Amino acid sequence: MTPHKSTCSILLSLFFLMTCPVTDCISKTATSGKIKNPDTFIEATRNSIETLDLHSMLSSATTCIAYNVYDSLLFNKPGQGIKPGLSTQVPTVENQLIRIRDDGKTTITFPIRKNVQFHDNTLLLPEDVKYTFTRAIIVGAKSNLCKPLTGMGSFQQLIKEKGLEAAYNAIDASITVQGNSVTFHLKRTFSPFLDIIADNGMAFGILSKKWCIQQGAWPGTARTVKDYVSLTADKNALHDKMMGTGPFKMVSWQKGERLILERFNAYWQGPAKLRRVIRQVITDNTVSVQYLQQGDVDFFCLGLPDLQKVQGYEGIRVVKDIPSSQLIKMNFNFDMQGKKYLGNGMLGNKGTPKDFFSDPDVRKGFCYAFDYETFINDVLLGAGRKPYGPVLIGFPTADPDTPQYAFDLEKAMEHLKKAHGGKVWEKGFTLKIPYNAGSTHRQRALEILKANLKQINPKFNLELTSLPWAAYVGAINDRKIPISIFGILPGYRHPYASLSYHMGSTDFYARVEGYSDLAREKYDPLIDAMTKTFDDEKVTALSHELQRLSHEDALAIFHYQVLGQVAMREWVKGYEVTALPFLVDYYQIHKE
Amino acid sequence: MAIFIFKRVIGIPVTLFILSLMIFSLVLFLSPSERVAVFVSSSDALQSASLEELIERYGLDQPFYVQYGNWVKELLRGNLGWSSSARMPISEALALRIPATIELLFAGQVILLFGGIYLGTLAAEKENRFTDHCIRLLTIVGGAIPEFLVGLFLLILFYVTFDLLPPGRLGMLSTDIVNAPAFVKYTGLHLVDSLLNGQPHVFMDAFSHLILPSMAYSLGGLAATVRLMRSSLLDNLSRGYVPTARLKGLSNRQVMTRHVRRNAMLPVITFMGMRIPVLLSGSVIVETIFNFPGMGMFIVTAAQGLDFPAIIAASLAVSVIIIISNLIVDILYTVLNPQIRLDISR
Repeated sequence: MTPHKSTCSILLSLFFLMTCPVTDCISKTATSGKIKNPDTFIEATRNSIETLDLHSMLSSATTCIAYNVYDSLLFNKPGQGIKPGLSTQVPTVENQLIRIRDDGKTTITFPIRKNVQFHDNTLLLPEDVKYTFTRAIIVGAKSNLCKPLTGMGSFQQLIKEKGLEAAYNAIDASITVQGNSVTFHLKRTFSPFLDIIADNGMAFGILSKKWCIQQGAWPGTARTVKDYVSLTADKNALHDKMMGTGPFKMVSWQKGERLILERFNAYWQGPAKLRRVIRQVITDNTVSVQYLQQGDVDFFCLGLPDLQKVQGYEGIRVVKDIPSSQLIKMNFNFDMQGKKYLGNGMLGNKGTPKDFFSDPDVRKGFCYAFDYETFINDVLLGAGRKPYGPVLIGFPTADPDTPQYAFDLEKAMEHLKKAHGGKVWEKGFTLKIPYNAGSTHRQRALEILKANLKQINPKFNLELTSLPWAAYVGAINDRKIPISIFGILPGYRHPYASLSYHMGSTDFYARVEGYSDLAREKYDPLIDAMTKTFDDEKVTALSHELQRLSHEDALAIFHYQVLGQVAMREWVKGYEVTALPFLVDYYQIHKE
Repeated sequence: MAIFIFKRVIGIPVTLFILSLMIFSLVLFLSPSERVAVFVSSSDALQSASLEELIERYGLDQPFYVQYGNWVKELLRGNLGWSSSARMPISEALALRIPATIELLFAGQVILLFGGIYLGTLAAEKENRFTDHCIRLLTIVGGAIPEFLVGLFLLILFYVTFDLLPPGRLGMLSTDIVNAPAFVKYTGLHLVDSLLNGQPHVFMDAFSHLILPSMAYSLGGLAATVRLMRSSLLDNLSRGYVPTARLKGLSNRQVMTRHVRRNAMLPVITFMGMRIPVLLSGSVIVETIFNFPGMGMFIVTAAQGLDFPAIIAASLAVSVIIIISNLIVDILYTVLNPQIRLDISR
């Protein structure tokens, strides 16, 4: 054979090899048998880490790292309830670590565990605990801490109210160290407090004060506070560093690519079985699936469309339909600002008045006009569940008996006919509603709503438009968007987390959707009462009442709670299903 | 030649200035509150800083010329700003991403050049014969299949089925070596740095990770290069200098390699120069499929997040790559055909 003919033969062979149905050539047997990298756990993730500063972390991509690098004072592991962590006891009224005064002021004391080492082998001290929580409020703006300790939603508000020095002094005085204990002085009884801080290190892990200062973080002094309030990532010394007392220490972070953790051998609960953990960013799920099939990835939190690519593969285990702690809703803006989305500001085919959604009949009409089932089945392909209300399914006090809106065009019509004294029905409306570019879920949800409203009355117009994510967030914060699609992602299981975020007058939704006045009058007293009792029955009753009010006032269209799916190699042992499916407790994981 | 290169190099800042001005003006169509949202990762984060405060801090409410002036001032100090999408200083992000793209671009161009010349020559020499038909068929098919499909085919075939060529930029062991303090990153190019650090294993690993993406990257262009080379060769073979060279006693091979192929390569080189922006834009797909983090992914993420400082910096970086690549192409002309002079007097 001449060299040319052999070249042609090779090229043709390659061609036929490529054009044959490659997928059929592959056995449905993924690499099995021999465990790849037996002491290393490799997790694929689509989302890159935004920051390693514990007090600036917000996304799941980052909090699950903190979960494994930091320890909190109390743990709250699945099925175990609240257990001691870096505190040797769980404070209760009975053991007198919680003391409630007649005026409602409450102290909660945590005896700090001795001989616990940080990853730099220094010992944990009570001062570290005080520094951590103070920094969480000042730099991290943790409102769920600031509120019970100072009565103000944020350190910013406290500064506005009292001035910088007095604000700092108030925070400083609210956390005190006596001997080996740390005491939190709450302005009033706040029963979710323990739930909030028992987060397994995700937001309230304990930092080393000495190490933080060495890295250039807030020095822990009053006069330097002003330089660290409103800290952005580019100025944050802890943006790319983390060091805690948890079972794994951070080795390296290649931004946008991977993060590597290594076992901390001096961990106070004993070393983990895994030697190393790699969190690999893979933006394309197809690639993650291929890695998993080859055994080069051990674990992957996947979307429903990817499920069929891994289901049935020998050596791969799939866990699906996990109700996750992510509830998405369409929020009505009661008091729209600006003219960008309102047209001429009057009912008709050229605009809508700014207080359009302040009428409950409009909101109810919209709630009935949304086709929940079609959205969940056809858009989410079943990876969602219709929520009962603002408290997530699977969380204590979620009430299946609370009234719910269902798709019903007749009822929608009934309410819209009454809205704004009948003028809405007569003149119609035109609303411009943006969604963030690339979010097909948001786009499809709005399209469903648009089509159904048009069906009720041809004069009802929704004009959909897309915005880049940052502009979308900016417009929501400017209270410009008529209907925003955002969610409730409770960080802890006490119903206060969901209900206050959704209904509290000073919390996010009431503020950006313009219903603070209504919230102050109707919801705040109930939310307040819920935080003042340690009685579970009372908490449940109040939670149910708030859920009922949320329905009665139709604050939002609760269209779905996300169902999660995970896939892992069968050699992965120790994964526990929680409401945060993406969250892997590497300490419990081993490969065999 | 030196003067020509000098002239082209001093033209770079002018081009970059005009480009930066254009992109900056486009960005300013967004309101300050829309642009400041880049610095806010979520609604919760707003509790620590008000929008107004951030707008003031970053000077987003200043007139255009003030904002642009501030940006240029920082640029001259070597500070390109902070990329909220990459979560690091832009200079750091570019230093990480540009080498990956350059490696990919270089490997892709090598495949285009050598593959195109070899197959194009072969097709021309065997005009209208079996070999020619095969190559033409392959190039038509190669050019017709979209890049992402080629990438997926290659990945399924060589990784999932045969477990030969993995995606990513480096394997686990090599990543550890590269990230160890002892490994000096002279250029950021793994192929080069591994050799300079005396790590042949890393070189081989980086090379094996580069094969599939560069193939996917260049296959569409290869089809066109082969056809261009073939037709250019056939055109040159019909010219008068070919019989003259033969009469002088040169063999067919000598005529082909010394004269015809060199002349025929000129349009191929032009085409390759023109392909660079196409390759850069196509890198997004290839980088995503092969999990090969380069400039493509960086630019897309920045654009999606309206990370305007990163968009401006990345656009300028890409422009520099294109300008320098075109300069190299111009120089190659004179190497291939000394009759072509870079006339500097014009």
